[in-house]
Amino acid sequence: MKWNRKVSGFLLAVGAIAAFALAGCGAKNSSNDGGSSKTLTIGFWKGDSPQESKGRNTLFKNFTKATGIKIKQKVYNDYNTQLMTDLVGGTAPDVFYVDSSVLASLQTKGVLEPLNSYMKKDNFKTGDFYTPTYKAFTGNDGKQYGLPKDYSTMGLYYNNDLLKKAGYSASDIPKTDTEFFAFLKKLKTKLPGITPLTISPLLARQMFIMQSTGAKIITKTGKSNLDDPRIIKALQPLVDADAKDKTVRTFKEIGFGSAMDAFGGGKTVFSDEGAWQVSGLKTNFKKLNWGTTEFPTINGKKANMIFTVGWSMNADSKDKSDSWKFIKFVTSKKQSQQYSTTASVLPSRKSVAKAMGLNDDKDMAPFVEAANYATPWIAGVNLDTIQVRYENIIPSAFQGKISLKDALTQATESANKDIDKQK
Amino acid sequence: MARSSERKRDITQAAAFVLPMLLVLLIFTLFPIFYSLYLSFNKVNLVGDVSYNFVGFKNFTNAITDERVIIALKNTLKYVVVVVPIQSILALVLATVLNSGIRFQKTFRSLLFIPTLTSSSALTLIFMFIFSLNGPLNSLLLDLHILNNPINYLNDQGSVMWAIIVMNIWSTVPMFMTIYLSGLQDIDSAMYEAADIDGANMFQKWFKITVPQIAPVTNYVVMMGLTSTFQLFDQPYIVSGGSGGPNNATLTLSLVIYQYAFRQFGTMGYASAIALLLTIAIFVVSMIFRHFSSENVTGEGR
Repeated sequence: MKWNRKVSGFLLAVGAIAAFALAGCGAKNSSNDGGSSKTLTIGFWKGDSPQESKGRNTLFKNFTKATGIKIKQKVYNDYNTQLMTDLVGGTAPDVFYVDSSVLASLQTKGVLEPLNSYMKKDNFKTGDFYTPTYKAFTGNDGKQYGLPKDYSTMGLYYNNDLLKKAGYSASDIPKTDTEFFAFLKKLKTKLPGITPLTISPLLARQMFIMQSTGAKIITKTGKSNLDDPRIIKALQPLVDADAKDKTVRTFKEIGFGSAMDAFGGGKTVFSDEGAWQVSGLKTNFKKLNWGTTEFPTINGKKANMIFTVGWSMNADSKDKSDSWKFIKFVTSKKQSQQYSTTASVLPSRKSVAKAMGLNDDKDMAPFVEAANYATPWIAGVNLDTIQVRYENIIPSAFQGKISLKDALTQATESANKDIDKQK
Repeated sequence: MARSSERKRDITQAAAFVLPMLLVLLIFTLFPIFYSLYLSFNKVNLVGDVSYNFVGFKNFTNAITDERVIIALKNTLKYVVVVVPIQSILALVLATVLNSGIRFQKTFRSLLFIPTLTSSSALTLIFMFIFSLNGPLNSLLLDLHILNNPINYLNDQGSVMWAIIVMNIWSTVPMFMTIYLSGLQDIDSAMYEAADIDGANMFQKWFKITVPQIAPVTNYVVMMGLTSTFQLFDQPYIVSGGSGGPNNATLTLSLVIYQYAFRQFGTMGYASAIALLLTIAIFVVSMIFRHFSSENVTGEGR
């Protein structure tokens, strides 16, 4: 009996301690969100390259040094899902990355803080930002919901050694789409076992091709318009080059985890990737002999995609003036140059691009040039739904298991049904 | 008097012991169940301006006419129908072998249990490597001249679900095998001795004694198998990057629920309705199974 009591007393104590510990955790979290201490929570995703993390960490360190405000990092591995749960639960960071493609849906939900009053108070000049990157964070009410940190466009990466092996050089790369597809056919016969062009079956990489015949991927009401005959016509050559000629393959079809692995491994002559691949190639594939150039024209016009990510403030942040301080600090000329140089990304400020001499950098110049005519990765509030449906079905179209028309019709119907459900 | 005060103390003690678990159950199990029940009858917006609009059974009628839900149901059912029998039979066979007194049986037991200890996402990544176009499986089949061209198992709408089925059977069998092993030790060895005297062979003993005697364990294994297979999520999510592709081949009910709940705004209620339908489906299938299975093991076999 005595023993029993001792044991039960002990167990009770353990239970009580556990309960206190749980309660303690809760209390600690809420005090952090309360922000009475000088700490800002910053949400971001890591990106592909270690340099990017290095640049970001330096930004945070510099900010703490300059203001004394500590930074609590919150890394998102699955941004869309995690940020949404954080917003529902009221635990979202004070300042976080926002991709231009999701700005519209976040802004219309009212979870982002407009920055206009802060910018006005500090007389913050915006003319130095590249207009498309700045406009990407302007909401449909004309207010500014974020400031761009950097941007990226796409380019055509080529493998010098493989071109040479086929008897060509970089100057032989055709400048128009029809010639380019013919060139891929020649490469295929001259280089057995090598894929002429490796692509990624993603809406973000194909949107500018789809819109090259004048149609938009969304309707005026923001619904999916992927089954527009003009869009099908625009995308058909690329799909045929895979399904029929096998001169274009998706990285999954040739068994790689990403297009960069296929290109870095010397298994493909061309890769259509973003500027972010430059630093990845320099770090991971040091021996590879490669170069970059602008895309061939599509239907006679230059076309490309522009992606931009910015810093936005949580409308529920408890520390808005410090949050603004942070955004202002990290998008300043000096810090932007530090970050862009370390992470080798394209800066959103013209003056920084000039200071970095990017127009003379032979690897980066095609990407900077493309910013002048590229299509922004923005398409209304339902882009995520449209994108998921497209990426679900398009691999089968590239494999020739289903016609492009059927694929895009199905993707459109399915997406639009879901969009109707949200109303 | 003394007895009643002792009884009182016992009750207080019992309550103190039960309370923490009860609280956990209330907060993390019962509350979410009732909350999602509530959500399923509403049109919900949880981000920004929180709003609940009662819509009656609209979410449910939408769900049963939703093409993607139907496709997901078909995929899930195919998966359940293939995986549950195979994993149960394989587990019993392996357990019998490991219980038969072969050499190194303890070593085999530990080795076979390893898959259960590994996290399912790590397993999925390993299997994605094995099944990849330049992976070991293709190299092996090419070297043995079984295939002329490598198959892209994970990028082909026809084969991707089968790849997931294989990886899942591989990872769940050991768990059920262990459950069977403990069940096998409960079977009276006198029965096997009697069968030996009657001149029964190995297979007769297995079918006439082991299988009927182990029926209660089989019930448990099949039931657990049904509930876990109906909830298939992690492998399709990792393989398809959350899209359920290629061409809806890996779209399962759990993945559809996830997409509606967390990938787009304003369909949380709809996702809850599908989740409720999934629960009902699992419940009905389990009940049907229970109805046709018997746990009445009398000690003589049946």
